[in-house]
Amino acid sequence: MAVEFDFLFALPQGLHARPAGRFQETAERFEAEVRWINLRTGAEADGKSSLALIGTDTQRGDPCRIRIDGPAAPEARRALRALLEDLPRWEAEAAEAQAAPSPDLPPILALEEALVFRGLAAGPGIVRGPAAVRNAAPDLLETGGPAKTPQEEKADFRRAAAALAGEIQTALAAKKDKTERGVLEAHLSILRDRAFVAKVEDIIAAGNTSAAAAVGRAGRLFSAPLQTSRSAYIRERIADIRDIGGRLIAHLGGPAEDDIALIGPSILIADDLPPSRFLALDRSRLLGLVLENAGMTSHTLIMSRARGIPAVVGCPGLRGKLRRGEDIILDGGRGLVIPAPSEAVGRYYEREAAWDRRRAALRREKGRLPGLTADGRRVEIAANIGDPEELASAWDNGAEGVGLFRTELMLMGRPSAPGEEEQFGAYARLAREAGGRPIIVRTFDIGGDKPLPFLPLPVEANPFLGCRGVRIYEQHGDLIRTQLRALLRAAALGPLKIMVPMIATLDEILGMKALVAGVAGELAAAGLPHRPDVELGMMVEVPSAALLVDRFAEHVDFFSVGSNDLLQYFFAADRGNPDVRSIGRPEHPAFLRLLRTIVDAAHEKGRWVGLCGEIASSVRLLPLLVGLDFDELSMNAATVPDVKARLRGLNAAACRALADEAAGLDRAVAVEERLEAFGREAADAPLIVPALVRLRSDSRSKAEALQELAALLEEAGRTEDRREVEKAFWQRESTGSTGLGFGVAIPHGKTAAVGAVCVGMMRFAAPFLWDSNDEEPVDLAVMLVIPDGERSQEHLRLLARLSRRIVHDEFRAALRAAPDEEMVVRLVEDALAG
Amino acid sequence: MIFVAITACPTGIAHTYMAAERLEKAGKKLGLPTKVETQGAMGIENELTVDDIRKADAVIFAAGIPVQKRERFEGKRIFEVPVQDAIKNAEAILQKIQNELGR
Repeated sequence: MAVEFDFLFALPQGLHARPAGRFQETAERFEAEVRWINLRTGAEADGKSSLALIGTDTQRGDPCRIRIDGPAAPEARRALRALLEDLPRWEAEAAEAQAAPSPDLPPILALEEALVFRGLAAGPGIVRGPAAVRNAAPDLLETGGPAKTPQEEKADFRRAAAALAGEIQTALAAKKDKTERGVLEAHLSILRDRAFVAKVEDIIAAGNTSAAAAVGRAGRLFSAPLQTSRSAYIRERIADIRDIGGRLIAHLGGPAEDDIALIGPSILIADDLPPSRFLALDRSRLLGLVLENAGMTSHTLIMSRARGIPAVVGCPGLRGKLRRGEDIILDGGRGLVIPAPSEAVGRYYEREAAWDRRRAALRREKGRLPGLTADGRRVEIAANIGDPEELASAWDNGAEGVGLFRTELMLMGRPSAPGEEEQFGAYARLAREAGGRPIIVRTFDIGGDKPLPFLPLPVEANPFLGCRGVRIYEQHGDLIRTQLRALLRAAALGPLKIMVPMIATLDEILGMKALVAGVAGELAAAGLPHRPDVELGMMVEVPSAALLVDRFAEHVDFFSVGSNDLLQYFFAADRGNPDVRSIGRPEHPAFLRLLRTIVDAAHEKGRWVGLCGEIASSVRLLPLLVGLDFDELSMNAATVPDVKARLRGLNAAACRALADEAAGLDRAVAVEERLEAFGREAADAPLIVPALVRLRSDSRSKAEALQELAALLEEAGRTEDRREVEKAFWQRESTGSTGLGFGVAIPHGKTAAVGAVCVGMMRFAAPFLWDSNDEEPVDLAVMLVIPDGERSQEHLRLLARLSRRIVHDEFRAALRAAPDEEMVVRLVEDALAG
Repeated sequence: MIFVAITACPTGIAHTYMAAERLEKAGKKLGLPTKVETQGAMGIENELTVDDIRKADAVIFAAGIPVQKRERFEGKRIFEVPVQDAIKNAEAILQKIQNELGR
């Protein structure tokens, strides 16, 4: 007996895995054949296969028919009808459970319905290239080994499917999160999908196909119809099929871990990457890096940032969702990974990257200026490097020295320690290429998170509190003596200084001095040229040393604060542990007081103090570090221009007052607020200048126009963060379009990313509709941007006056006819004058 | 026929003043006295007095956001229009209200 009924599909996201799974479950309870027919697309599917159901590409509002044939048809009809009526209610709940899209996403991604994976920004920059997926779910395109008999292959397949189902169920049992459970359940339903299973077994039965190859082929067959779906949500389900297929293939003995070597320029996607593996990579081919499970200050990321490699951390499960070689865009500044970008998304990012490059060129130019505050206080801006190769880039970025050369990186990724001559070669190169700039070489800092194959170190319960840095020198005397010999010899060739890590007690530094003296004696005896009086300094990264700087100052020539370790030791909060990482905040008043103690004690004794931790590269924290009176800041070479540019805009006396005030506050958040207020102290700049006018823009849409206007502000030096400005524009657009009619739009916004009120104008070479429901295309945009918390009534009055003028036909006509930027500026200034 | 109007918008720096300008201009052109109070980033300006409101035949709200001190208009005939419309079609709005009130 056959029955059927028609209905309009109501779920906003279309028929995706969860509702399809529910439909399948219900259909399976009845002894009847159930067919789902989408009357819009004509696609027809087995109602007992959720994969086939998803493949109908059923969207909201599609007319659909259910046909049921079999003894239990009437009961099935009742149950399925009830389910379909119930679905919207059920889904509304699921939709709420999903996180709202963050305002930080470039709006173009939402407009284009792009598939986006979000992680943490771990290295700014935009790159596009093929994904090199390390240890990924094996690609479904790959075929397995030679086939056994169909019976054996079928049995293998069933075993693998059962084993994988067991794995997923175990994971499911441990999960509480509703969304995560939903995903696992959807995976389980794919694995058990009867159409999928039947397809795999059919392919095997046809002969001469291994189970692994059959899984791959079936997976592709089921993915194909989803590829063309209009709904991003459904397209994303391909990833689930790929995920399950790949895991099945791995269970069937397929490839598990692939080689990390990069065949061509690629974006490497991996779980984590040990520093040595990173160093072993051909970095000319490494366009970008996505690490699913790496701490932000892991050494691999510290190194990749120093090299300016765009990087994202997080995106759990990403590896299982990308094909090998899939075209992706990596937006390191926002922490995004965008596979298979559309043309508009590609264009948006191309423009972003172009502005980033221009901005970088400008920055570098400014970076060559000396590290001075606006009121003339000198702060040396230096670079942290780990390889003599990086010197050129450090100088290119405007570094005034090397504040930290990490020698331990020379030890990594090799079977034995480098000998004296090899080390001398490296240090001599530093000395020769220094060009008179100071270079601080830190002796080996090993132990803890940096184990070495040739150096037997005890396995410790707590390596960060164990044998690291100077503490291993006694047991490994040869290693440190060889290094000191090479260093003293190289120091004769150029301005090298030596710095010792992990000093906690006075005896450690005295021991080190004795060692240096001994080595100098050896070299003298051997008649080798060297510099016996090389400057010797120490890292301040252990709180006990921090509080005894006045005494240490009698024995060392300089200090450098290792803020990463000092922070984690001071707050007893592991910087690699995401659960406690936020406790050790560098702007915490307690930490500021500690830093002040260090600097003041050193200065008291006429010693200089630098800082070489991650915070040295923070433009945000810079006013505090300047205010604390550091003599030198050493950071990733790539951030030198930014920090220097900010430094040159700061007033040392004001920074000093800020640091005094901050050290007297109670909490990190209070300091943060104070810092923000400090940053807001607006420079008094004219509202409009020629740099804020563009007479011929090639933007083709509102999204591109807002992007370009924000970039215009950045190029004109009115903002350090054009993305924030763009966000502010969009926030305003979301409350109602700023398209005015008359072919004019007045995009505007309020944001902390500008320091002063700005007015700008842009004319579009190819007018476009500002909003899809507009009648006439826009060829003219007048932008108004005001700083958050702008209180100047005078500025606001000027803007009001300008707004009133914009609705006058003659004024707009004059803006359109203006032959050059100066004319536009004059017109606007006249309007502002009233 | 006498109008009073209030203009406002989310950021309070652009549409508020554009709409005000257009309504004032339209009133002048049509010979219909129109006083416009702006509720923008500078706060309330050109504030409507009790007397202004009492004398007015019609009140226009051209605001994308809630109007402040709304209670002043209790018992008055209020016409709410999108602030965009006030910028684009100020004259048409005044004329339409005039027709609707039959004067």
